[in-house]
Amino acid sequence: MTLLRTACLTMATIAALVVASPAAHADTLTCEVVEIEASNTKAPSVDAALTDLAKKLSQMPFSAFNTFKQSARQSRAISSSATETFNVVHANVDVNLKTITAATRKKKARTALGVGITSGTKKWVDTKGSVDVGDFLMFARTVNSSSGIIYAVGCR
Amino acid sequence: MKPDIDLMQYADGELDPAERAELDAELERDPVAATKVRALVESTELVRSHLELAADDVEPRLSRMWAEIEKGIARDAPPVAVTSRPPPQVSPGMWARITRWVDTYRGHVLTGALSAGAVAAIALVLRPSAGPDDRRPVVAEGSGSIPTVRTQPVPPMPPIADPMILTGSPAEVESLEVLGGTGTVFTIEGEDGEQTTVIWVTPDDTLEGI
Repeated sequence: MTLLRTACLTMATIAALVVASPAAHADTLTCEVVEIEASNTKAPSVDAALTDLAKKLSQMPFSAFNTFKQSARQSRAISSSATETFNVVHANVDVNLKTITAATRKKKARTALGVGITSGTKKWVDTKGSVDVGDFLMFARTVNSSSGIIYAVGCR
Repeated sequence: MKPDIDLMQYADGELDPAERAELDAELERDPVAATKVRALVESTELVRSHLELAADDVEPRLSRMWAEIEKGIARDAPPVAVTSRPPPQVSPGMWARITRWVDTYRGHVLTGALSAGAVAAIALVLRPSAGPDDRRPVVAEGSGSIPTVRTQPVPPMPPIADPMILTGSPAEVESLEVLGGTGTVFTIEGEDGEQTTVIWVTPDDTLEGI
């Protein structure tokens, strides 16, 4: 009889897992932080490592610069509601993967993110937003009139 | 006076109601006929009782005779090896086995099914909503420690040509806190319609922004 109860409970558990599986399956995403040194030089160039971001960098306001060099690229698996800190060259980027919204028939899957960027001991931006899975939320910080640091944060 | 045959039929209850009513009336008028009828009824009862008594006497003798007959049959019959052969085993099909199992454990199966349904319902309720409109962007402007946050209008999305193609949405900023500087949120649209959201921060200590 105990075996039978165990079988029934197993059935119930399997049913619950089957129903909840789409949400559970997408509970973790790989999030990426790309740090780019942007500047104006006499020899415009875009780092070959920035192929996935080249199109964005060619548009305003990034087109104010003509040279882009990738200084760091890190990716890490983050579970829903968890925070990871990416220690890149010029800053520490805290990424909090708040929620993941599954794709619908018309909309891509989307993530709600919390991003905080600290340079040295100074946190200069703290934001909450949402972005499609596979896309980037872009941050830029002016260093001086001819250079800046760009951060691309996204999850897939 | 009615003939005796009619009186006998009356005594045996074989007359129809009309004839019986007619004879009843006549018996009231004719005491001789009434006496004949009473005699017929009593004789009939007498014969019936005698036959019943005779049958009662015969029955034990018949039982004894039948017992003797059975004994004789058993004695004369050749010895037969009695083997209790079980009914042929037909291997039940999968469906038959399942239904038999369900019949046997109907209560447990129902309990399991109800539990599964309840757990599934809970899982559905607790599952994060997939609705795209449950989180509208709210771009903070000049709150908290933000010195200035300028927002640029987001151009309307172009009409979707093919509804089966998954469409991307630009990143949306719900809240923004810029410390020691000025933040600007851009949503820019590329030539191919791809939209990019940029948060641009110009520190206060930067002499000249972009």
